[in-house]
Amino acid sequence: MLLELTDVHVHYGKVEALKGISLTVDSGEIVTLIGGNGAGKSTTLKTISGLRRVTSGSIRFKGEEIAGVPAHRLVERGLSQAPEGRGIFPGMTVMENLEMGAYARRRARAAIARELERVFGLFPRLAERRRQPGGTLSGGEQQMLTIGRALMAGPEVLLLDEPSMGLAPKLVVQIFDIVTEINRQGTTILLVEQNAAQALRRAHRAYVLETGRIVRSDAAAALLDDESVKAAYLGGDVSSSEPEVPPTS
Amino acid sequence: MQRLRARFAEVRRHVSVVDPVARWWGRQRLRMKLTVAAALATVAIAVPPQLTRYWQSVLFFPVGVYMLLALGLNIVVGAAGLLDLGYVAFYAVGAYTTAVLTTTHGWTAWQALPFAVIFAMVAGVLLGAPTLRLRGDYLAIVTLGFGEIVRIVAQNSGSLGEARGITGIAHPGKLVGTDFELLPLPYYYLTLVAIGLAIVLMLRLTRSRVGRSWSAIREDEDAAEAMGVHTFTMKLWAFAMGASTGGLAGWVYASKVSFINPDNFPFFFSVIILAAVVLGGMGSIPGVLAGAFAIGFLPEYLRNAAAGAWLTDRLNTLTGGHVNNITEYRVLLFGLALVAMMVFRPQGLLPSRQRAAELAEAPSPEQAMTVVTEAAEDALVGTEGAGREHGPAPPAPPGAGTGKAVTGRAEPAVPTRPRPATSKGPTHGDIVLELADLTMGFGGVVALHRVSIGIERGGIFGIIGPNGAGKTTLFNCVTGVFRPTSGAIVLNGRSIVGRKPHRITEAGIARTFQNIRLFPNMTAVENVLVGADARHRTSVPGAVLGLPRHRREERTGRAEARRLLDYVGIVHRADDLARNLPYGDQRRLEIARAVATGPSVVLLDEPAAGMNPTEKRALIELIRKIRGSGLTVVLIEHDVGLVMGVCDRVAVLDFGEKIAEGPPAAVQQDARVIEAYLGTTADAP
Amino acid sequence: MLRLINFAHSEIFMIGIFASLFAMDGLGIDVADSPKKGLALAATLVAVMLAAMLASGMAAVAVERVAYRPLRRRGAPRLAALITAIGVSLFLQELFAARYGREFLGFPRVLEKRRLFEFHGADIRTDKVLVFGSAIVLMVCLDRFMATSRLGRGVRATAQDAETAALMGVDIDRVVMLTFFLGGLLAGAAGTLYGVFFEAARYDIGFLPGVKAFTAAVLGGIGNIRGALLGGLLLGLLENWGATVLGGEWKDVFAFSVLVLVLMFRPTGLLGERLGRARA
Repeated sequence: MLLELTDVHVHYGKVEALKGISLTVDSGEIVTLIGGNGAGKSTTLKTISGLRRVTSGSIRFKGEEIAGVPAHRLVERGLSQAPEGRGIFPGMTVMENLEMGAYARRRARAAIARELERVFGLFPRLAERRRQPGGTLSGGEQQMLTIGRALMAGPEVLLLDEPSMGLAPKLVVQIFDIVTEINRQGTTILLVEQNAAQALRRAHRAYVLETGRIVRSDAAAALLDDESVKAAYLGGDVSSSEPEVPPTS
Repeated sequence: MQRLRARFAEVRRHVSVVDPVARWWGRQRLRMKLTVAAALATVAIAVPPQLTRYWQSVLFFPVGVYMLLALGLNIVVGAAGLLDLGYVAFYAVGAYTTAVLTTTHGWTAWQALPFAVIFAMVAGVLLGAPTLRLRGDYLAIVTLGFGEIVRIVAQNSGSLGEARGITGIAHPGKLVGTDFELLPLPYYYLTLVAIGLAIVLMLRLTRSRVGRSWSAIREDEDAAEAMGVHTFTMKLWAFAMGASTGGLAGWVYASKVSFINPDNFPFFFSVIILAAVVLGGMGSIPGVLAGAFAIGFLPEYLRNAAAGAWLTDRLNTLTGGHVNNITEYRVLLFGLALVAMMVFRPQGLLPSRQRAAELAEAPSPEQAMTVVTEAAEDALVGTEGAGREHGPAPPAPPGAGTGKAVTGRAEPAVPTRPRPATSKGPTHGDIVLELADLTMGFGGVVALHRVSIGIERGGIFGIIGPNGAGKTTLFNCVTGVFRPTSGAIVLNGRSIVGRKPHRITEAGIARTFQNIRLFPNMTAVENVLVGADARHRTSVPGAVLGLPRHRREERTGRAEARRLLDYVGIVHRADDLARNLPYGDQRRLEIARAVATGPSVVLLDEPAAGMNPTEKRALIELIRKIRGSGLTVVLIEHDVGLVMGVCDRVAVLDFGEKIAEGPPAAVQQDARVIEAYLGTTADAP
Repeated sequence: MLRLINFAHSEIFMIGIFASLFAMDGLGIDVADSPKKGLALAATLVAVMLAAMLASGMAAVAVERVAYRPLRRRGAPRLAALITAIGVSLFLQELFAARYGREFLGFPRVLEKRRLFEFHGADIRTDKVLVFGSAIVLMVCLDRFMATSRLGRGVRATAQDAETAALMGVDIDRVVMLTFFLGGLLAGAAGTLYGVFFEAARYDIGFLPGVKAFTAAVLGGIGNIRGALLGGLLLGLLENWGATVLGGEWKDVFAFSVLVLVLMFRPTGLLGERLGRARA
């Protein structure tokens, strides 16, 4: 068990955002957290990353308790996040953004260089645009940058927060292909997504979050076929692989 | 060391947050408060004649004048939340106006009085008009600059006496049998009267919609604007009122001392008054008066008392200085007090309940630093609108083609507004809100591209689409947050493109926000009242003077607010602070507030976000109820089930374009919609 | 980066001036001494400047730790931070006034103020060259540091998005401390240059330059370092032009008016803001 949350409660002021979340992520898996807006998905990731305080409960990473450890310490331990809404540094170039990703790795020059190669391999478009300021990239490129930047930390666990947000369908598939590839190369991934269909197709296991609670937990494939999940998150009784022929009337 | 620091923080938190004084005061009944006030007033009137002339003079200046100035600055800083570091400028304008009018032009002091006040007010408006858009600390610097400009102009102008200043300013003429010559006592009483007037003014304001709008602006300016508050005008009024009070103080001072020069009005003076307000407790009248009294009185007391000498010695040892009198250390202690106050007790000595509440909660440090960007991003989140009835509450709402059951009763809770005259005749049909070829571009990004939607009156219209599709941008264009690049937006036959948000709210569109932007430290009733205030007709001076019409509107407003709270089902929470309400109730409150503005169309942005199925069902009920009262509802939602269940028609946006529109069932089957939501149709992992 | 107007910066500057004076004193230089030349001159100036930079840098960090960090921890509103800054400013001023009196203290003349040559009617003196040259060197150093070093990146990242920067491993507290330290270093250097040029020190000497420095920064665009350089230059020119046109006593009004006008009509500054925002 690489990452384990046990009965985690998080409050924003008086409002309880997470009401006792428990989940696990094993080494080598892709685990996805799906759910509607405001369900608490991003809050969960931010809490794991140390950006939000845990009111109660425990978060264990590689067997050690990390709840309460400040955010900037967790990168050193092998936990890296690509934040929601991309969060790239708009005034810095692609290269500088990537270098920021490796900020915590001060002396590992060779490792950083290798990591850079790997990132450019995964995202050739970033290599082309390495001197461009981050703010000038398109949405899809920014998403690539944010994932690439998170990889620069050489993490064991990669936290991805809504990578498909605002992206065209084709790009979404592309991004998810890359996510799958990253996982194949050995990185464990915890993925938060609104686009349930894609997420469930790529993940091994999934949790469904609703108003701060986990309401379902299963193998991803099982949830993909589940009627109630489909109804709630996949837009009605539409099958997720073939378009319905619109009824002629 | 770590533990020591933790305990230290614990103590500090305890001291700042648990505010026994404010709570005690708040709990007291009106009779008790009046008794205390009366007692203090008696002391203020009866005691001074017993004191020596020295102390009487001190009570006039600095104490009395400081108190008056602090009350004025309190309006600006405490009530409206505007950082003013150049308040001395208005004081100076008042003083110099008095000086010039009575010396060069030979007027009497009483004749100069109104002009001193008016000129100061004008100065306030002149300074405020171009600068009130600026963010807090920038506004502070600009006002500082202005204060200094006034002083330096005075220093360099021949007509203002340059560095020598102006002498021979007239004393006020005899009034009610009192001579105003050299003795300080009459001036003291004059100042007391002025202070009394200022207190009355402030009390009137805080209880009225003016005070509420200031609070709303302080809490969340964008949300206030969306609720119909004329934010700019209100801020300007605050500035003007604060400035006039400053001018009044300037008049009193000049007419007593008879001689002024630029050195009387340094930047440091602004700091003193600001400190009085802040240390005493921003926004709280007793606090501000106490603060001003302390700051005026203590140094004088220490100057003469033995305690002063002792303190001087201690400080001399600490700093290695050789100072004779405690007054030399006055500023140093002052600076230290400011820092200590902000670190340990930022809400001041006697804070108002609201301010104590505001300063109690705080985000994490990282969050705090990103708050600015987030707030900006959050501003781009959707809005909810509240519908409004047209004409008197009809038993059945208009709205052909909805095919939904209609509530038979009239709903008096939902405010009515007479239907505005449409520029097009009834042939315009039932379309209450029309978007035509709406396009919105930011730099190179096209967020909306030629979106055309016609929303029928009395319908529930849904807008869905993937994240980033432009739904929120659409709401923002409609409500005036953004000015569309091109296209038309027509409400009730009138174009509302490019109008300011508060005007659009007045025209009949109200909204709620995706991430709930209530005024957290105001009660539920007050939140709704801010919305209702949008329909107030009385002007600001009317509120100040307490005109009958104003009082009537207040009364009806409050009754209406409670009715609305009942309508949405949270009247039992009416006097709770908004931020203490549970999530579901907060959503309802936001809807109530929006409906209170009396709109034709209500825009709801993701109202079901974060709700469990039970809450969602209740929300659907409420939406239907609102529509039943004759309002039109437009809804952004991600919960497809909810949208399909409650909407009459749905439009689907994707990448800024409308890709489908129609009844929910048809839209659900549309191939383009499926593709947009689910990704490309043929992709095998 | 912090979106904080550091009122106390003027006092950090003042501390630099005093530190320079004490450094000179410490080196045994007396007011009556004749100016130095060559290597001795260079060594003296460097030593004094380093001392001042260090003093100001540490003072700035101390101020941050004591006065600003507690507020930052609690997410205090901006008004609180501003008032604290004013409080610190007043406290420091008065501290020095109590200790060293309220009169001007004179500097020994270390650099002979010879006129080197004339340029379009302007006197190019040795001390002016020193000030100008040092300013350029320091600014270039700062610019390079921010652009190329890892810490510089950290500062820029924090300014753009503190939360994300923390996710990258940036220790926000350290970065803030570093920023204050850098600001202090520059203020200290400025203090030495001021002392050499104006040859005077007093407890309140920082106020006016402080406001003008802020004006220059706003003029160029807050957060934009090259903008600050441009702003400073422009402001100086404008001020002196204003003085010739309207008369010397109006010089300061000019500076304030520029500030007010820029904030009113172009709050983003001439070169545009990089790190902060002026409009609400």
